[in-house]
Amino acid sequence: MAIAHRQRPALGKNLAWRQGWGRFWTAVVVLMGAIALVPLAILLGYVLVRGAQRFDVQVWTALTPAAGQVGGGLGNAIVGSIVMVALATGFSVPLGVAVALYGTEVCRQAWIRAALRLAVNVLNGVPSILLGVFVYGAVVVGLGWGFGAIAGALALSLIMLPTIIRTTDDFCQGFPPEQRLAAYALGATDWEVLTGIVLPAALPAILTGTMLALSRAAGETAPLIFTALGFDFWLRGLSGPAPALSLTIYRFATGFDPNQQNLAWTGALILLLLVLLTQGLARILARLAPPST
Amino acid sequence: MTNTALSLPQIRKLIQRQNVFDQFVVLALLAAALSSVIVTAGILYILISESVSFFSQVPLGEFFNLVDPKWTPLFDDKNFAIITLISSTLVTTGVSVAIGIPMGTIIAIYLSEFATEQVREWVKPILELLAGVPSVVFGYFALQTVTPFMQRIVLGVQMFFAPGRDEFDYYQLPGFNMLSAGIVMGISIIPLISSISEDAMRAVPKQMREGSFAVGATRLQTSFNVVLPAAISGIIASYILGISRSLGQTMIVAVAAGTQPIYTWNPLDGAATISTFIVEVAKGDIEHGSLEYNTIFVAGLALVAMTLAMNLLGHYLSKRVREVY
Repeated sequence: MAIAHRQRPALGKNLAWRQGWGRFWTAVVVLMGAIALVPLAILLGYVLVRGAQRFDVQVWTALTPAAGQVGGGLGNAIVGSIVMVALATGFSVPLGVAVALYGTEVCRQAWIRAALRLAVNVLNGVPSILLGVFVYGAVVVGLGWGFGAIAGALALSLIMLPTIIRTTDDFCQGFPPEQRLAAYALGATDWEVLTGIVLPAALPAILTGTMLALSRAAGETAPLIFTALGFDFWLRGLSGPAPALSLTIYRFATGFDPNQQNLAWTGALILLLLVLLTQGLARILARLAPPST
Repeated sequence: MTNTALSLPQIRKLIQRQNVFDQFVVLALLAAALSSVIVTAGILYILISESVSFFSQVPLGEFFNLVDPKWTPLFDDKNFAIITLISSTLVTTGVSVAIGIPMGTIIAIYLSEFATEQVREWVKPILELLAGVPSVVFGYFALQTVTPFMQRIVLGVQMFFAPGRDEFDYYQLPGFNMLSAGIVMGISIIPLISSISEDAMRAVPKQMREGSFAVGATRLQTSFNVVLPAAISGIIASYILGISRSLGQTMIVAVAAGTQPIYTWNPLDGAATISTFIVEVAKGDIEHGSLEYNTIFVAGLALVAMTLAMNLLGHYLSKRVREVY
């Protein structure tokens, strides 16, 4: 359809106007995107600069100082965090992988899968502080185990569980059924298919999920207030109040002692480095994953 | 080939043994799956049962008191008007949403539709790193950095519009305020919103964009009129996740928003949210089975109810506005 001669200038003007308008708003979007990134960059920079002030050997070896005390470190808090996160990983990884395997590999009824998925989604949606409240009500008070590293680890494992279930589940759903069928055709049993075919293939996915869950659990504070309570000395056992890095940051950050505040920033930096480390590892693991065809 | 030399009964026995073992494995996996359901049910059960025993001691009218709301469960003169805590939870969430949703969406649009591959490779890991920053670090950042900055801004705005007074005659922003906490909470949900929204936008088929370009739309028109509506259900899902995260966010508000349960809708005030209250109770000594003990669970139930309502709304919305292509 030919355009009437007298309409052409109008069309050209319209096009120029639209392109100009488009460029203007593109610039606005790019600018606002940059602005949105600024506070994020500031946060990272601030933690880096303030945290580096006390980033020395003592931080790793010395006990947390009392208010007014000079020096000190975060040694006991770091050990407490490591112990609790390790225990939580030990609880949640086997359980989470088993749940995901049951949902995708073993279970044949659709309604059980739906119930399972609903439960995991709800668990994932519950604010982390309420997971702490639950463990407090059920284990610390309910079972009478008292505050301790075990209770803290249980609360952390509830935080890790949905992430591990989800990543394993996602992988198993995308895993080609032909490989399983081939194994069955060779006479393999369910157990052999699970441990010989599905689990080895899913290992990188499981490890990636574990890394993500682990870095989240290491920084969690709210649930530990109810379960680990915090402690100013070295961890003495799995029961009895336990120190944790995140709890120490919280207590020092809300206090008024400058030495403690500096240590809180250093603790924040350590947590940030841990996140960086686990994410780097997760990325490497994801790259190691065999191409699933 | 080697001769395995098994008699038929031997083979039958082997298969039987294997079947028993397999059934045992299936049972073990079932137990694991059940335990995750039981834990979820247990959380809801404990919240509800402790709340029931709370309401056997406190009348419902007192709990939903809107006329003269006070929340003082730890004092001698006990008051339990939950709206005191809900108002501040909503205010901080509101501020955080006002920051997080526009910024998260814009970053998502930028990354998915405008950014070059190199920029994306730089920005995405930074966002991922931020998604992993512990919330207590965000809280400390709010208290130590954002609050002083906001105090200066509030002062500066007043001096600009009503100059000439002495510095301390102006309104001073309190050291603990919901505004700073909300702003930082908004920053903390940006990575969550932008990464999920970006995934949703990138899942929109390329042909739709090309069709839009073919009829002469600019890139901006395409992003807002074609890609955004097509990806809307994923984007709404990211908003819902961000809002639920803000509602349940504990450490940022506990550190930066103040710990006094005050009934206020003013973001410049400091007030305790539901999660702050729970933390504050936990820091003191509580007796098992006492009314104070029950209030933790009733506050927790209110929080879960809000999060759940948010999720239902999101489910309904994303179904309703979904564009099928």
